[in-house]
Amino acid sequence: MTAQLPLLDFQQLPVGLKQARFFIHSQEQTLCSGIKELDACFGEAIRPGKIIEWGLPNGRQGRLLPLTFLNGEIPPSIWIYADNGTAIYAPAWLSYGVDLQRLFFIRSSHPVKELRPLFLDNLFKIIVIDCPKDFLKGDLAFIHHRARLNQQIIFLIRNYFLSAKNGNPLATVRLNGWQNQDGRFFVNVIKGKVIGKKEIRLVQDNQ
Amino acid sequence: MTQQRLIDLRTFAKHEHFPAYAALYCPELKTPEHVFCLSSQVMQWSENIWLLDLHSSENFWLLQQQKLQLGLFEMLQQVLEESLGQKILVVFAQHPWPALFFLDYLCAQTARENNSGIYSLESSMSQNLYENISWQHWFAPLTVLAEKLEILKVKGFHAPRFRSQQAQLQRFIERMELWGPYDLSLAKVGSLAGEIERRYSVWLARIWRWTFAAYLNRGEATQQGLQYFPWITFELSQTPKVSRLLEYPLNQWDVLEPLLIEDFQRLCHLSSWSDQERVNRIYWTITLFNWQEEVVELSFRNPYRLHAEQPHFKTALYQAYYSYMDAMLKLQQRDKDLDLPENMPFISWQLEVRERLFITPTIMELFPESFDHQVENELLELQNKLPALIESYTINPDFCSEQLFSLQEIGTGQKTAYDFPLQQWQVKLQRPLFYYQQPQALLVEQGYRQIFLERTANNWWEEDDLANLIRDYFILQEPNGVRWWGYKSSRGEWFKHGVYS
Repeated sequence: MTAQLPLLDFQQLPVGLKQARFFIHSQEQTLCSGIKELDACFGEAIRPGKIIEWGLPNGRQGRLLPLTFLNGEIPPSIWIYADNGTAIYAPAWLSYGVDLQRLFFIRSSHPVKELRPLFLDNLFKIIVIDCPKDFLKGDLAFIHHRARLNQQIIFLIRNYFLSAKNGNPLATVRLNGWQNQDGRFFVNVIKGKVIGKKEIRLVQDNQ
Repeated sequence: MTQQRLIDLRTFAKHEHFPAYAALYCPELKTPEHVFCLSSQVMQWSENIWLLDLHSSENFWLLQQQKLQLGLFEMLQQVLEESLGQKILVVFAQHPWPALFFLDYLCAQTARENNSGIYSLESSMSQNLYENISWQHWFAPLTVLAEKLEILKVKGFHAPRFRSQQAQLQRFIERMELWGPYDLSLAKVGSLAGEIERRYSVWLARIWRWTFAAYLNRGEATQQGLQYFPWITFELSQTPKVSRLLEYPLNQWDVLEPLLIEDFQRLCHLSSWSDQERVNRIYWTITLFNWQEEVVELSFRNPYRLHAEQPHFKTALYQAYYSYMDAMLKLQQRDKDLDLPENMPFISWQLEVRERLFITPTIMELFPESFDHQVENELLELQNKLPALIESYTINPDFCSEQLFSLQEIGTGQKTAYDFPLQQWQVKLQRPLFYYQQPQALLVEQGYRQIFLERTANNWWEEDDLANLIRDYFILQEPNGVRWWGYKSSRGEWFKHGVYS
């Protein structure tokens, strides 16, 4: 019998998230979050040269899941966010354990068209593309090619839940993530080694 | 036994912020180029006084400071003395007016004591001096200011009227036996400015406000900007430039690109500038097929070394491409109703390096290249290639949710440690990753579930609307589970301030 999970305690959420720590296994070169359930969803998939596609609709706190991979002493990384009227609220990122000296941000709705030099350069080792607009298959192929060449990890975040009907052959893992109304986090892996829905414990258990 | 220090004055030293402007007094200037040693944006205030706008070169100098591991002002002093000699007086400030006011005082002192030196208006010592400067030094630069406003033909400015209003104010000051502007600083700056505007002139009120810009922090000064200050950019009579007459009209980027590379190469071969100089702006003057001229700018956020990118000039080409696309779009929009080719071809152009940092090889010898700063260098280089700003944030100790953080310059010796206990200022309660800079009005009757988070209060001493200072923050959850960060103001109005994405 599984233990009863606590209801969402907002005070505890950042505490739980901070326990996550980015690290790369030296031999396998795999990026891990330090959260057992979440790392198990990926196996050894998050490696340089790979694309991970996330379905994280706005308003459901899903971005806290990829954020667990950006905690602590990460190499220089960048979060490209779409121009939809919002801006970065830096204190929140810091409170979730992000090092603001290592994670940079840039605003662009059409990153491949507008930020081509960024992808040609290998300065940033983790690139998060958050809700790009009009992101075509050609753009994806370009990103994939550059990621392999520059040995970068790409997180591609969509503002909708992904479906198995429309596949993405270039993404190693495709998954949806959300927080439900009780405050519990879930992921649903659509493509990857371990397929299916799973709860991720970002909130600490009281026991 | 180790000697214990009871008080270390350095503990109370303020953090060194990069200044926005410098006022420079240099009676023995070798050539006008030398005044561009710190910045590519210069204004000649009077025969021997220059104003430097340091915004465009900030990242560059902060990175050099990191390499040299010196104090910021020690490094700036070294550069200035190397370029301009020992006999200089420099005042760094967040606005040019306080710098000029202080410089006038220092020049008067120098005439007596033959001093030279570098002062930052952020330091406590300079501020103490600043607070005791007499009205005489406040009125002295007004004559030049009036001349500049006349040159610019600023709307609403009438020089003879301004002079008579200035004389009236001077008479009032004499009658009241006030020593300096600081004597009036106990009154609220804004309300006194209103009084000066009512009694004398709007211009004297503006200058009064500028005087106290010396006490603004970096963020406030940036927000305030130059605000009516009559900045007249000083331009050198000879700038590096090359021209091209095309053999046949062209407008396709693929064809233009190799020609531009050739022209950048020709620019580098000109003897009128050295390979150590950095560029902030290149003007690309294009002559269109209908003989109309279009000037587009190739702007570099950080001083860019054109010579170092030979023979490919990738950064300059990216900027040229962005400018070309913008220009094409603008022309298409403008000419859409006319019977003209969709993309107007070019028949000739000129490339001119207008804004550059005049750095001699001896100055660059001060800053050894090291592997430690490779990432910072790469960041600055990448930034020059991109059309958008790479954002980096820092936390400020402030209770107001929007003042708690600010954008900081990239690649400039990012703070590895904060000079205040960060934990005290970290957000303990849940706030969203993304927020609306302009909160959006909201009707909460639409069935939002409300979870109270915290109550915040804005700085009442800075606000005009004292009845609207408190905000009660909530998580507002829609029936479908979507969560917003919202607040209820003191007036009971609801606003959406962020999204839990």
